[in-house]
Amino acid sequence: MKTKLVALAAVATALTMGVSGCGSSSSSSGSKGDGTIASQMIFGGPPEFKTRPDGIPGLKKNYDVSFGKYTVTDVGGPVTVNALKRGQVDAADLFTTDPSIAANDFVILEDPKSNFAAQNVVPIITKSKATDGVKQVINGIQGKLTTEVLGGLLGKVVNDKADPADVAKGFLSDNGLDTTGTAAKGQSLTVGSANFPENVILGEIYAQALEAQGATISKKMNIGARPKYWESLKQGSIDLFPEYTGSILVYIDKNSTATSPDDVYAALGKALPSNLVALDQADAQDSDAIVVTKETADKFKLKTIADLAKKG
Amino acid sequence: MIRFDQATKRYPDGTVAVDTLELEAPSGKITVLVGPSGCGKTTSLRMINRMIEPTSGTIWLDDTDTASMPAHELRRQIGYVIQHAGLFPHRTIVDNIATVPFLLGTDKKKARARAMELLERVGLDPAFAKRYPAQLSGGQQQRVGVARALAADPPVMLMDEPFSAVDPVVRDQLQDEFLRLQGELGKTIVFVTHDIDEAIKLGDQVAVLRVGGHLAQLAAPAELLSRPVDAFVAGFVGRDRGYRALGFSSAGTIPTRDEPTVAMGESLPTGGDEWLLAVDGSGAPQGWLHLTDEPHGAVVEDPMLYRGGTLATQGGTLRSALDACLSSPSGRGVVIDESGRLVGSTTAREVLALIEAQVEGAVT
Amino acid sequence: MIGDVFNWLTDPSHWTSTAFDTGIWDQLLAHIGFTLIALAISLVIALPLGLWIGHTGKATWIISVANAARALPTVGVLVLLVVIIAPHFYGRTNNGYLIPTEIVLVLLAVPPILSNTYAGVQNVEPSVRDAAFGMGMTGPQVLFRVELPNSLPLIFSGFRSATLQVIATATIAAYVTLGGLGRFIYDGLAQQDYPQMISGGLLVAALALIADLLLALVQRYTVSRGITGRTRRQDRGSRGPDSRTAVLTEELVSEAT
Repeated sequence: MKTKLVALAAVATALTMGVSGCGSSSSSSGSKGDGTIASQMIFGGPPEFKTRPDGIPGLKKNYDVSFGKYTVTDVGGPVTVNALKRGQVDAADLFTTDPSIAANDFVILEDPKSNFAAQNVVPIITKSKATDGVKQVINGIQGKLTTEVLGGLLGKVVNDKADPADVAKGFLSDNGLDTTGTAAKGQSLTVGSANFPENVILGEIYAQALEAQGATISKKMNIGARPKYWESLKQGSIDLFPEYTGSILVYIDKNSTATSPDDVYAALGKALPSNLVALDQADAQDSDAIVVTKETADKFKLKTIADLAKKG
Repeated sequence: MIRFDQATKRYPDGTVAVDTLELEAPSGKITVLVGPSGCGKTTSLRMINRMIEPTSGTIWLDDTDTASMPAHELRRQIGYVIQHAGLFPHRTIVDNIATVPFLLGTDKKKARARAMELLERVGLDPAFAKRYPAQLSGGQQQRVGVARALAADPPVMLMDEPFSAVDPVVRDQLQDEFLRLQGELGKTIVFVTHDIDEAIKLGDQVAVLRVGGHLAQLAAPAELLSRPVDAFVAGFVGRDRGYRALGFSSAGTIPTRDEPTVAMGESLPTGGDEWLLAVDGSGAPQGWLHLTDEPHGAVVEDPMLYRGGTLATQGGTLRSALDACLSSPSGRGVVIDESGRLVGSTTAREVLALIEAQVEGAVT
Repeated sequence: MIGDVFNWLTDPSHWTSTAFDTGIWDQLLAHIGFTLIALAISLVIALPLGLWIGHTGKATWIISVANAARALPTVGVLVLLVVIIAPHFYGRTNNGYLIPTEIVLVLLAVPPILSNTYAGVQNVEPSVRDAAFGMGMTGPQVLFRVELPNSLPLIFSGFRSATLQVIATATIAAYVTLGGLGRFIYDGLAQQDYPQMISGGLLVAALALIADLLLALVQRYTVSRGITGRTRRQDRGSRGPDSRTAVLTEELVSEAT
């Protein structure tokens, strides 16, 4: 009995060591591949990015970039940020407004060929509610929204735990957009938002600005996913909604191939149902981006995604 | 020899299980501790091998203080038999028996050989050796328990109600075999039971304990029956004391008269008494025939027999002689010799005369 | 769908690894690796602890606490631990993600092993334990020669339960950059590649089954037949007279039949 147990323990130990030895070797086998900078790198991103048309296949097609190895991290979340920061991956897929980019001095590689379709912030509004006064108020806001600004607002909510309504208020006052007036007097609108903080901030910004200009506003924040709020918008129970050009275009028209900001905006205008209209798009975009650390960017002199295809 | 010297067990909440017990269990004899629940008999037993540590007082094993060595060393010198045997389910019977020799470092082969000897000694077939306890009946397991206790040939054995958990028929057999074994081995045995009849049957001396752990009386069984020291002991020993005491008196030679018989397979004779004794070919009594039930000349067969009567052995006890008469359907007690052959028959009146003679003899 | 799943599983390119993509064999090995590490650590913690608590009867509160740990939400704890632990590891190492994963798996595996070991020892018949001490065994001897062998059925049961839970839950490693069979489930779901996802699930189930069968085999050869009842002749039925002749006759009769 004793000998049986000892033999058992020995077999189990050998098995454990053998297997964990095998298992760990597969993680560092990145080959030199074709000698490009990308081929020496490990890329970190969500699982669907591996097969998405604008993901790994798109990078190969548009920029001839092939990474050495793909590590699935998460959808632009803490695991991705940590892996990039600590060197488990060399490049990662993050969203352009992610506060951790600024916080960690990450570098967004430019995407001149629009591999990632434009995702400019665009307010969609019921046509009948789009009076000149309302349009003036909203488009005035759009002019001030850049990706960096939006990222900063999001950072206050995510890192400093501020309330989105307060953050919206601060933005409006910092940019002189909170003056009271009568531009939207007599109008009543329902403003909605999706259930992620950035979208709630945008909804709050629009709602508070219109209220300051005399409109009667009811808010429906944190609604849920697109299928839900899009129905409400089409039927009119919501009047104004902050959207993103690229993704709402693809949602309405799956076959759209537009990628540049102008092309996408134009296509969107044509694809919207007749009772809805898109106001001015902002410069601010919340899209995927290929991100590296500052050290990596300096080391390989990286500015655009195309630089990854250079020999290094 | 085991000696309790002011042995006391007091628990933290104040209960006294054993109160300054003074008792000596002589070497080579069976000392039975008996008493009602809570009298401390099991506690006293377990203090000998320190399964329970005495609060004060000493327990001597011959000239050694049991407290003077580590408990486990002490226990390896003492045989221990408990109520449900406590055999190790994961070991074979032979390895169970050899437990203590293994602990003492005896060579495994030697230990197992000795275990086989003991297996036969307690009346079990050698084929049981490779079996496991779960395959044995309760009685068989108890025998193994006894064998296990004897394996290291300890001079002393402690037995805690070892036969209480088996049915009465098996218990009787085990008790008889135990006495036989003790006759061969002569160990110093301390035996605990709650059954006064078992105590009287097995003990060379019996200690009756009172609730609270006091010794009420220590005496040989016969004396306990005839001269209980106080009302408690008298009550505990129970009724029928006089009758049970007959079990200790030899009947001497029982006066018998010839008893007519008929052999199995023969045909019934005509005439004679209402009851006729049937015997087998060797003359051993089989049962009584009620002649008025059977037709003339019927052949004696098994189903016709009345088996109610017990048999008294010539030279046996007064009790069995009297019982043979009382239990016989014909009123005549059958007496046999040691080989089971019919000697003759006697009557209750004659046995009572014997009893009175003995009583008178004892009184004068 | 069944056809698609079959095709996915039988496609040889899915079984081998490239530098970019890890195949089934390597994920299988990784999954087994996570499992073995967690089980080994859990055994080292839970077995001695369970034996000690069962033998002495002290500190039984530990069992209650361990059982409460079964209610932990594994993914939640995992992400929490990764956020705390992973930042301490730099460069090309898995350890920042492996250690939190193993912690979660160990938290999962310890309760069944611990409580079953404790129960196993506690359930040894009091008369058996009494006899063991009465024979003159020391505490450790009673524990290792009597209590442990008699607890083996329950200990194995706990260990097998733990193994199944760990194999099933090791899929969470895929949430935090590691591999294992969970990779196919997680990726398949995200890419809406349902054949991949279902194949991942099937592979986990198959691994769990094989592991349990192997353990059942080990259990058969380690646990004494006296306890399992797996003895050649079931003589328990005949509780007849105990005389030697009767026993011998029984033997001869059952030998003949």
